[in-house]
Amino acid sequence: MGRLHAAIDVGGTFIDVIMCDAETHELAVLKLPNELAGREQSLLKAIEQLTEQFGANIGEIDTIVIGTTVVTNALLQGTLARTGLITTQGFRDVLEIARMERPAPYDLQKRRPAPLVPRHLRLEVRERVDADGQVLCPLDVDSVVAAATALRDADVQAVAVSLLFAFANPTHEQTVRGILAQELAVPVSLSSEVLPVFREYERTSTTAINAATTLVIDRFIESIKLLLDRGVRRVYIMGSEGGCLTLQEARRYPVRCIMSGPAGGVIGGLRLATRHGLRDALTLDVGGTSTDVALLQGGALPYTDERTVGGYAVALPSVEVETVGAGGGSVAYIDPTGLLRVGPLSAGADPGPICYLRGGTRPTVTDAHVALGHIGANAMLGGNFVIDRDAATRGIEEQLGRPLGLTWARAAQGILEVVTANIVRAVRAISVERGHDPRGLTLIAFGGAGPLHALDVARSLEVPRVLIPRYPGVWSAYGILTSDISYSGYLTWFRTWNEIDVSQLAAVFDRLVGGLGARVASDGLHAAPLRIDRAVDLRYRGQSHTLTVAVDELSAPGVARAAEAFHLEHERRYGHSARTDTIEVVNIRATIVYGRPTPDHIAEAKQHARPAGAAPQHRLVWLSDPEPALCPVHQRDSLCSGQILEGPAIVEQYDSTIVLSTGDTVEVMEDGLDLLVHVRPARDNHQGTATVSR
Amino acid sequence: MTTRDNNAAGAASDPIVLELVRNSLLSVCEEMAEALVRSSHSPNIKERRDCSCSIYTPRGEMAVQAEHIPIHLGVMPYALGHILGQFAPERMEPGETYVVNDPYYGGNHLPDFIVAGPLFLGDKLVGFAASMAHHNDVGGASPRSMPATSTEIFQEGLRVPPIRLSRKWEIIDDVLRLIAANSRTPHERIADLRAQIATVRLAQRRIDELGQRYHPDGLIEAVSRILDLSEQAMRTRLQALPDGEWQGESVADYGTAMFPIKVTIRKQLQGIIVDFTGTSPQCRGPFNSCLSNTYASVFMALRVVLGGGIPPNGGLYRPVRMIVPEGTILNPNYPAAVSAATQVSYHTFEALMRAFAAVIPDAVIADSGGGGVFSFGGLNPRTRELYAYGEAIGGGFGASASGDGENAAMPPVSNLHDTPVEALEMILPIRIEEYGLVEGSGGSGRFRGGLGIRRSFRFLAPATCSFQVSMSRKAPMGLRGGCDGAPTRIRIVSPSGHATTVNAFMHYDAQPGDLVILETAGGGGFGPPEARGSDLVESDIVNGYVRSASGEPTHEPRAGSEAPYVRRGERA
Repeated sequence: MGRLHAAIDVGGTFIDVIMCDAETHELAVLKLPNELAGREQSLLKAIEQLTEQFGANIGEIDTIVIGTTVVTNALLQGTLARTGLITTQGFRDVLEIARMERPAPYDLQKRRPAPLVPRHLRLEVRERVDADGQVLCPLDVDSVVAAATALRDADVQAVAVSLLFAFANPTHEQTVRGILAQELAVPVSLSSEVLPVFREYERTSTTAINAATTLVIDRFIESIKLLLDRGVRRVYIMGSEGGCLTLQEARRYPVRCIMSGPAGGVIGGLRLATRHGLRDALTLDVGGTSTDVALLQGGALPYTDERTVGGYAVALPSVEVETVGAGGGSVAYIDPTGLLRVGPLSAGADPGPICYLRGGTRPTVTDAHVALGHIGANAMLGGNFVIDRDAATRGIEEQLGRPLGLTWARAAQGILEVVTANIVRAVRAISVERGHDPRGLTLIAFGGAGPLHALDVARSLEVPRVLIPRYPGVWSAYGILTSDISYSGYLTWFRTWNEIDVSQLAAVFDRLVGGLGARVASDGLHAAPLRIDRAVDLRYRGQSHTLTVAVDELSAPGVARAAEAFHLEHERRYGHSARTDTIEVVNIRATIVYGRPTPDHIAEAKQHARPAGAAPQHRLVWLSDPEPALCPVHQRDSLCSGQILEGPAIVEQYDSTIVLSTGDTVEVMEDGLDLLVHVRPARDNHQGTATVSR
Repeated sequence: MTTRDNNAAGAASDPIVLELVRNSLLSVCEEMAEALVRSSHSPNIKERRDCSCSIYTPRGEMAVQAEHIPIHLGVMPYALGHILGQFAPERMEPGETYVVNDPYYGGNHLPDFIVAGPLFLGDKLVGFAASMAHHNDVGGASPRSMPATSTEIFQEGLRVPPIRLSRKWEIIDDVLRLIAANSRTPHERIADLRAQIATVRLAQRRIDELGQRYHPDGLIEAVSRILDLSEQAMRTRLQALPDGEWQGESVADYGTAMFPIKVTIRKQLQGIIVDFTGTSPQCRGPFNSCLSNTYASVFMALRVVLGGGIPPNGGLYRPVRMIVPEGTILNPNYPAAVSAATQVSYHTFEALMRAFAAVIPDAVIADSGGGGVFSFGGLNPRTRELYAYGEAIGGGFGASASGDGENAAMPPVSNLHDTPVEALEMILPIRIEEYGLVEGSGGSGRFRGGLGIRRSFRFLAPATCSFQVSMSRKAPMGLRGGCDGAPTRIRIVSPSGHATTVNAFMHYDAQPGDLVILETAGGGGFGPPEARGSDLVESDIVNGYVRSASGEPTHEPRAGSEAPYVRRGERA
């Protein structure tokens, strides 16, 4: 068995790779620009390069987990399989009605994306099942054959089947699949398997996305086969829910990979929180095009079932992050009233910021950092990524400074102040929504640009502490590396919780877990699972929204504990509970988790080892003052555990940069890995704030 | 991050500081809304987020709003204005809040309660915070306080003129008990009003925090400057339009009665007058819109056609003057009923679109269908409890110069969601037998109007139904040569199969087995049908968006088919 474990996070701007030795816990990282052409080859090269650092060959790799955006990109770019949809008679337009929502209430010209399946490929069959799963109208086989024939003649490449109340009785969908198989040989996704949960639009949309992305995931899995051919024992794909998926599971449910990247970041944040004994924390992941923020509560990942990607509903559970269009590539511009605004338009990686010299012409957040000296000209990726400070400064001066009557430096500082304010709004929104005051929390910052912004974000929120991992720029990859294998299921089962029959509850959970077990067995996993998690979605009668609570035991006391947990969570999130009201259970959820060997502790990476305690260099840096200051620039690799630095200072490393203002202090934690920043409060020092005073 | 010069005038003109102030206040509004949704009890507020929050200048002009319900945001400044008319700002104390729901005092319709209070930095009044929320029931003739056939506002629920609601953040118990006693769901009223007070208090706390960064005078000046900048930007946009006078007309129908809404827009240099002279006298039913709701519809129209990209605030509307004659459906005399005000606002909006079509055709849309309300209630056999349920159903969105109208969407001033069929059937004694698009309902044109919705309800238990759905007599009109959409049609099919077409504003007692088939109106088309691209024509046929046995699209208006009253859209 190989000793090396690796994770790859394919982001919009960079591909991050991380590798660890399960025996020595040594870790190595690599970051490459994401060039579309020859991506598989460059991935292989990256893996080879890292393997060499461990003095090993690819055959010694046990596992690679890949976080990929192929499914998301296919959806955003419309490169999908030609897909047919079969629905109950009278309901083929549900997919197009899409809850009647318009994307922008104040923009009359903005439209929803085209329906995922065009109307002529949405066909109806005669059948009807009611809410209890009783058949009101038996399935008319002739109508199914007619639909199958029509779809065959239309050369569809995949078919989704979504019949009303199929979650309560899947037999009609199963019969449809059988008939389809006789008429055409294409992948078929059933709503009763992809998402057996009520709400027909969301279920149909999720099932249609699953069908439409089967070819994309097949091609992707084919392309990474070369890793297996070279001797890698196992390859997994990161799932949206925070567990990784076997290749077979990813093929069955490509739609479960849709939030692969952000999920990795939040798991990485959770690992850090757990390591430092934090039950609740905020995570801040600032990347090239956007910022993801999440709230960790009670040492658990936050989930949501309400997500849209490219305007299409994806109702499978995914790690809950709030995304703001504020990243390194966010474009700064002057609005019609003359105010300086930043984002959500992003220059992305292509053409990218002006300073990358790849054709970008509009000033971005990264250009501001480069112009102000926060990011050194040779600091990125160990000097392997060249940036042009003069071009950045010129762009800001010409496009923002001059028209606004400001110096370039003030305009650049303004870009950062505005982007910080945008991020702060998102953090406030997620914490307040969950009934949390951010002031008591620690902010965990990562993503290539996370440590550049985290301190100012924390200052604005009055968050006193910022925790920065050893490799912030590849921390999502670290999260992916440490993820467990999971199989999850989710089923609508509508009953009165107060009058629940425990044996019925046990039976329905057995059915759900049994279905998961069949997938596990078919994927060839034999070891005993690490654990099986069970949960229910409860609500007070009369409500439509639910809260998810764990069921720790399938017994009368277990049912009572879940009810109590529901009252408490309702109290916390909504400020009140109604203990005498009837509680309804709407959905049940189960997850089978298999552990993987993960680095619970990391040693110093080898490749950048430099003598500890090396003297810092200095360069001119503009912090919050109009004039620059000569600022010490420390190399992260030369900091030793227990060392304390005081701002103003810059800490540079291969994958990120940290900017400390006057009054901020950073401490290298005892393990020598993570940095703890004590943030100077804004109110202590009016030097550090934008002041309007008389 | 930076110390700016200590001169307020200088700092308040710094485009970065102004953006930061604007952003901070926007964050306060968003947080207010989150807190309101979190701690209210009404399902409308909690689950459909039928609520809005905003912050005002000391003079009562809207400074910053979080993007919620367009019509709320337009109404709130008027409600605040009436509060300030009743209570002098200089005598207001911190911790005081005021409540109003009466449309004749700046409200929308009675279920919408506005709670507002002053914001102080030290002793200095720096502005106001307000929230508006749709309470589930405020009494009146029918549950949910939206009766279809009311003739006076007294039948629509409890009127609350501007009164004090709290002192030192403590709710005034006498007021609370009075409001609660007039609601079918008193506990919700108590929780919702407490939540609305807490929302203002949260805003005060956030303003206190801003006070650590900004001097009160500097803050007031910065906000005032933000409004001035929006005003200037709006005036620049107006200046760029040619001077002139443009007229638009829309016809609102309440059952069989027709109510023309006429608007004349006079634009000169940097100012604009919106004049509704010639608009129909008020309706005897609930199909009226009080002034505040009318103003809100006009502001929505102005913002979407002229205000794109300009931070929305009171400054945007300073160049606007309005003339709305008394006794019309847009400014009815007390005590006219107004519970269907939102549907009137769809037509007000359309009249403005039609006027602007003459001068900025690329910015407008043709008429949209949908937005009517279908409510029913009775005894639920499953729970043996009484239930009341209502839903707004979208229709076809109007087409525009940029493309076809959206199929199945709520009209522009609203933005509500549908209720999933499966969610409905799990709870209520009802079966939905069809939920789809009405083929051929979109008005033809270079760009086609969106398709309306067909939703069929089979009743499984006796129920009392109420239809409040306009556009059955007067279909949404096309623009610039585009054809009209199909009108609303409601049919009731008895268990024996006998179908009757019924009035769109009425009460009806449904028996088990009855099938109600609701077809909402399609959107108007834009531009002459002959100019439609051949690829679009083909797609319409392939996808069955047009109704035609021969495979030819229905380019001609459907006059003479089922709706002889459908007129060809104007060719501007």
